[in-house]
Amino acid sequence: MRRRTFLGAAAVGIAGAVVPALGAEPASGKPFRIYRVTYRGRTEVEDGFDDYLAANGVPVEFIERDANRGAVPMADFVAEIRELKPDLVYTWGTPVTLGIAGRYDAKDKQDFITDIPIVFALVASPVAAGLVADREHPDRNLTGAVHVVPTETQLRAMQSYRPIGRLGVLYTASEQNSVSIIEELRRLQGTMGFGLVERQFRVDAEGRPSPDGIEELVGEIAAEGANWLYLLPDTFLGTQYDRVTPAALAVKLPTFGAAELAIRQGGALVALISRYYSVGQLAASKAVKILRNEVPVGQIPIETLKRFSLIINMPVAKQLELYPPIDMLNYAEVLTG
Amino acid sequence: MSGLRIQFSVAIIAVLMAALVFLSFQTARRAETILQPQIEKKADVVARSTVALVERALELGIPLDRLEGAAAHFESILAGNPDLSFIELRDASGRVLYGAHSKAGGEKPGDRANELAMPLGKVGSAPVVVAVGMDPAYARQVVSTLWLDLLIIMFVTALVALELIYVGFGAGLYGAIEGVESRLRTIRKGDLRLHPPVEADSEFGRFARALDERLARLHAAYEGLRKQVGERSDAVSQRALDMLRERFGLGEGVVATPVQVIAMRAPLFVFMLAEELTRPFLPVYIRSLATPIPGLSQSFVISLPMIAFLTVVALAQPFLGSVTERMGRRSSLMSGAVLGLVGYVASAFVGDLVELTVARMVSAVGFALVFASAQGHVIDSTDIRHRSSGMAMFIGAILVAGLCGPPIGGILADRIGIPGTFIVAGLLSACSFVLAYLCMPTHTARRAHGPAIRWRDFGPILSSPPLAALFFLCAMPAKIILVAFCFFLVPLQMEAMGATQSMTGRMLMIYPIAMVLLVPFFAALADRRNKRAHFVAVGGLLAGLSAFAVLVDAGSFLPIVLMLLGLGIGQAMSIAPLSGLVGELGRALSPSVNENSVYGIFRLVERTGNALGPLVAGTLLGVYGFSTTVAIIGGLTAVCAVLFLAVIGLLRPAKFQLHATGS
Repeated sequence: MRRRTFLGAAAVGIAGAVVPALGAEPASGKPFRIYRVTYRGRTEVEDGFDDYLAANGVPVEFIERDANRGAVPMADFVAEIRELKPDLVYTWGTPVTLGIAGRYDAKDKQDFITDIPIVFALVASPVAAGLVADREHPDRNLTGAVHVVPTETQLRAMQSYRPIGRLGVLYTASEQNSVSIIEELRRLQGTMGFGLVERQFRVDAEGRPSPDGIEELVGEIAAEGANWLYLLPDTFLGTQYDRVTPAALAVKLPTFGAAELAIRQGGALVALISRYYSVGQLAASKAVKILRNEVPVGQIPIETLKRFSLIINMPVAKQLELYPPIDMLNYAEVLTG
Repeated sequence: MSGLRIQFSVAIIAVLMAALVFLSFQTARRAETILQPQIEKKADVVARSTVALVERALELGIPLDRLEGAAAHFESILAGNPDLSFIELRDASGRVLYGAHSKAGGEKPGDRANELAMPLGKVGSAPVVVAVGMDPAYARQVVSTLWLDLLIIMFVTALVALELIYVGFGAGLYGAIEGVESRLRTIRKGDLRLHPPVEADSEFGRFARALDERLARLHAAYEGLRKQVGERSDAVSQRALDMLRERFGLGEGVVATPVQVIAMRAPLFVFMLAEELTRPFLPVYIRSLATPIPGLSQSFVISLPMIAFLTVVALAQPFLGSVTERMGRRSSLMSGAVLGLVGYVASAFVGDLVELTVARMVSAVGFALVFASAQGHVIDSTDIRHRSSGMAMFIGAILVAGLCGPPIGGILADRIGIPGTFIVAGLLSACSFVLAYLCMPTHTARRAHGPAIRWRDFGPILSSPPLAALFFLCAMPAKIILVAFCFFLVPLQMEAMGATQSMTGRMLMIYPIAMVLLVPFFAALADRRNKRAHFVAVGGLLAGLSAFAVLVDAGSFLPIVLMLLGLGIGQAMSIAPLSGLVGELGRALSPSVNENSVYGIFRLVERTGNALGPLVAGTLLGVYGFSTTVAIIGGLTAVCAVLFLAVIGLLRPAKFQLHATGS
């Protein structure tokens, strides 16, 4: 049963779904108004968010806006929010959230919304991004749902598929988030008993990460005895799956993804991810608490999900001849196409 | 005990046991018929889900010879289902591809009667069969455990029935019948001594009183004669009268425990039973509520509510003697029972450690009140000649409760849960309230006795080397080791070893059984040999050294049995001689020191040991784990016993010299 512990925790994050709807009407009798800014159009996150509100009988009216992958200036949204005065602002992803809420320690707060509650979804690391100082106590007009699966949980899932001897990682040295994950891996190798093989993407003349020599780097990782390649949530790596995973497959190195894209399009063998739909539900549970005035927004902790989804890529497993332990089939989603 | 009562008891117990044996057979047979189909159903479910899983794997294109982790998966199923003996995946020829077998032996594959085979059904699947083995030994084991529970229930029922007979005989019609019986028996033997009065208002009561009246007249006539002869100072007549007195017991009373002493036994027994019910699971329950406190080990945190309980008992006791006397023993016992009810019911509903501690402290005040009231009642209704037999009745109730409570508590906790068992304990406290209301007299004659402890006696008592050695090297360690082992460490360790609460309850019977059976034997032996100090020391040594049994094999139950048996035998050896020695050494002190004070301080030292027990055990357990903690406490107890013997041995010659010059 040990191998199920990473999935077995209670679904505290969405436990709000069973709370009966009571007194959700706004004082005016009209539905609540939520100003919603997405980054790249509507995703499953919004489906989960809307369904949760509906299931809890919270009447809402959305003002939908899209940042079109950052093409729209954030200042426009801020100005419109000030004008419309919605009950709540919803933001998708780190750039949008930073653009509207600003850093918690920003010197000039003029350009940001500081008086209307903001709920975010899909921010990987709110502390590293400077949105809040402490996830447990946001202490400002902002809370939300984090979608990243904790690194240790990822490693345990990896280990239950196949024990980690040496773990290969390929990352971008200039990405702060990746560097802190690498530091965490270094700490974990002692307690979990595995070795670490690290490689960084090469940089071009301007110091930006470059895809040059990816196959060579992956080959070096395999040659140093790695038996897993961990595709950590590195932004540059996210754009290079089509070169990294074939290179790994060529040297029979199984890959483990931390993002849904890594397995759905990137060809990783296994991935442990938060479902977008569930992340939306978790964010909505926080929105409900705010709209019902149950808890001041600054006291609602920023959380991640307690249950994650394991996805297995069967065609890759066949190519590697590395099949999953059969009891994993009881709970994993298996891709066959 | 009278013949009538023995016959009556035997008859009642025989009828009761016959009924219980019949019911037990029915229950056990029914359990067997229910169990087997359940096991078959489970095997079917396991086979189906295994077939589905293997089919899914094959469907996904995993080759049959590459079903990774199949054996491990089967093993995890077996680990969660002790009634299954094996799971195998076999090919068409019967060759085992993957399989797991329970360690406990069980049925080997090939035993068709206890095997359920299910082929993979989907078209195109390989010709493979999933076979699930059922373990017939499991049903047998369940039934034998059930029998063990039933036997304990029978045993306890018999003891409770005897308690009730005891109570019934103490008062009312049976008391009167017994009174008549005892009068006729003594008169038939030519023993004309006076009996304690019978107050019951029945034909037997009147008959007993009529007999008493005639006897009283006889005694009065004898007194008259004595007086006349005394005036005449006639030596021959005087001798004749003395012979009459010797032959017929004229002018004397029968030394029998007054019946009203019994009144406290039922409420006391029932209340003590309530507390004893919690023994097997209390530490486990505390742990389930405990949240980590920074800087303190978990086992130390667990010990806190127990320390609180025993500290309240220890601190309250010295004062409660006079408090209950002022309140009246009946009202104070009833108040204690109400506090018990509140404390136990609250314990069932508490949400955290602090609430539980408060609930336990309320129960503790109730416990101390009931204890002191019952003890006070014995003192009130006995004079010095009857005191020890009255006290024996008091201690008997506590011992029997200590014997019955843990196994019943364990069985209840397994069947209705720990909170439910606390509710039962609360109901027992309520019963104790009702029994006190019904049985105990509203008013008892107060007898003059000084305060239990005079504070100014502390100095001379504790500075007397032999008494200090006895108190701090024997009495206190004895209580520390008892509470640490029986109330704290054994329940936790049994839980850790996967034992049920019933098993823990049975384990906790070992100590009281040893006590009940052996205390009278060793008490008589020590008195006859006049070697009380040696018995105390050897008992302490045995109790301490037997703890080392757990070092041999901490993983099985036998060492714990040996440890508790050693503790029981050791303390059975030492407990009565210890108490006797307190009096002996106390009397050797200066005559200004009150003997009551010596005993009062002795009890206070013992109760301090009680409160220290969980403290010591909790602190050590957090650092060293079970085996080492047991060994440390046992080792220190043994060392204390040896030191005590050395101290007494060094002091003895001086004492003898003192006696020699004195005589």
